[in-house]
Amino acid sequence: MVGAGGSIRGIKRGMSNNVSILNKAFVSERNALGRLFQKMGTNVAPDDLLQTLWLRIQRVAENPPIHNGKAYLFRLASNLAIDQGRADARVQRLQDEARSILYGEESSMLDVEKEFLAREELERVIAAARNLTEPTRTIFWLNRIKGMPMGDVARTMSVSRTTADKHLKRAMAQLGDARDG
Amino acid sequence: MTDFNASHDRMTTEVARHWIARLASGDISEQEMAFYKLWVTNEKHHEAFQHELKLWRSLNQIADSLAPNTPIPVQAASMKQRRRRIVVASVSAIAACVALLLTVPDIAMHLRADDWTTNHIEALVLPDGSHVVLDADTALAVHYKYGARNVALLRGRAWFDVKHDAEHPFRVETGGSITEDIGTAFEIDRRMTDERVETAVQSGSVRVSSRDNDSSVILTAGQRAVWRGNHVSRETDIAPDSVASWRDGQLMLASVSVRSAVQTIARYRNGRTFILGDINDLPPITALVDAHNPDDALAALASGTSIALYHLPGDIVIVRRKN
Repeated sequence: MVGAGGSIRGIKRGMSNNVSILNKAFVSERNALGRLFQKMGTNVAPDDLLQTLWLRIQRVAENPPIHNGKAYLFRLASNLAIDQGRADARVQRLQDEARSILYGEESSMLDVEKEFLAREELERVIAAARNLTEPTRTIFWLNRIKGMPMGDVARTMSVSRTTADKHLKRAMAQLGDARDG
Repeated sequence: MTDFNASHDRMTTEVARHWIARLASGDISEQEMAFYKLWVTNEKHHEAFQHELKLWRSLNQIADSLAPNTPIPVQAASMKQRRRRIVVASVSAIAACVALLLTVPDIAMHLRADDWTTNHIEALVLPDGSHVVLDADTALAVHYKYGARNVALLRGRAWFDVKHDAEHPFRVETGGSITEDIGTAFEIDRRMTDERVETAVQSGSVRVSSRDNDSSVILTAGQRAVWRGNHVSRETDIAPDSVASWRDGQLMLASVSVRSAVQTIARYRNGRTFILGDINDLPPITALVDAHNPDDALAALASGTSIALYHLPGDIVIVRRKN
């Protein structure tokens, strides 16, 4: 939107010049940006990153004035991708830590005798395992035995995440209560 | 060992189980992890967590009791994939099960091959008296249980002579296609790729259907059907006597590429067979191959076409183009 002199401010009250320049550039470069995010291969969908980029654009300061909207936009996008990459790495470290708590030496049970359930306990657990009904059975098996993340389990079984979580809890309760006798 | 039940209350147990579930979920957040670490510093909480963790870890040992009973179509999702291929030296009677875990697309991951022939043709008798002949490099899993006789052909081809039992239908599952015996002797071939499965009937009749939809066909003697990825359709008829003619070890290769001929013969050889270089433009051949003498067949193939054989220790043969 081109106007003479100070008429721009009067019309676009509330939105800084910088932001409107970036918004324009965003609209015209949207596809290229999408491809950039795709190539960066983060764990987040390109559409989500575009959304986040747009939000960051709205918060850009009025000063200093931006002259090359496109260049500034791509710098923003690149920073966002880098931040996302760092976030992904953090998530990965977190999941690794969680796995090591569950299966690694972290919870130190160094006494081999204590590693295994007593025979009577195991027998009760096996009996309870055999009695698990569907879809509780498959949901639990996919997560515990096949190592499938719960998000994927829910999708595979065509149920909501909360439903899948409930079934997992139910299985743990049935097995745990049987073990405790 | 302290009496666990006396010193821990229900609430703590539930929270401990909650933490195990969150840790195993694949999406625990940083904040949650911080909460967990704080929670577990309490000694009673720590004991409860260890108690539940011990059970959680021990579940590996009873994976069989936890496995689903029916195949589940697995949608595209990320999961730990275990591909283990164990080569079996010899196959004994059906009672001795060799458990092999294969990851095969579209088949329940808990199916295990009970029998896997390597380089020979094997005839077996199933628990109900039905006969099966397995071609070389063929893997079969048998699931006879209450009310059904289910068999899965995981790879290769097999010929079945089924003892008819209307109350306990005999079904062979291969990839996405299911062949149900309505009456008796038929062959199933999933040799080419996992996306194409062929069923041919020698005598009696079978119904071949696609697992994912209603596409199905009934075949009688001399008729064939092919399942391609998502539907079943009839192929040209063949003489009933020639159904599964490979059973006697006489393989008819009709106008096949040299590469395909080498690959077929290779299945019956003891040692490995490698093809070096490009032999794809050689003219197709027609031959009758004796599977009991694959090396003779290979030598005959070499003398009749533009390929040369190099023999290495360990019964290895390299096939390459003759210059």
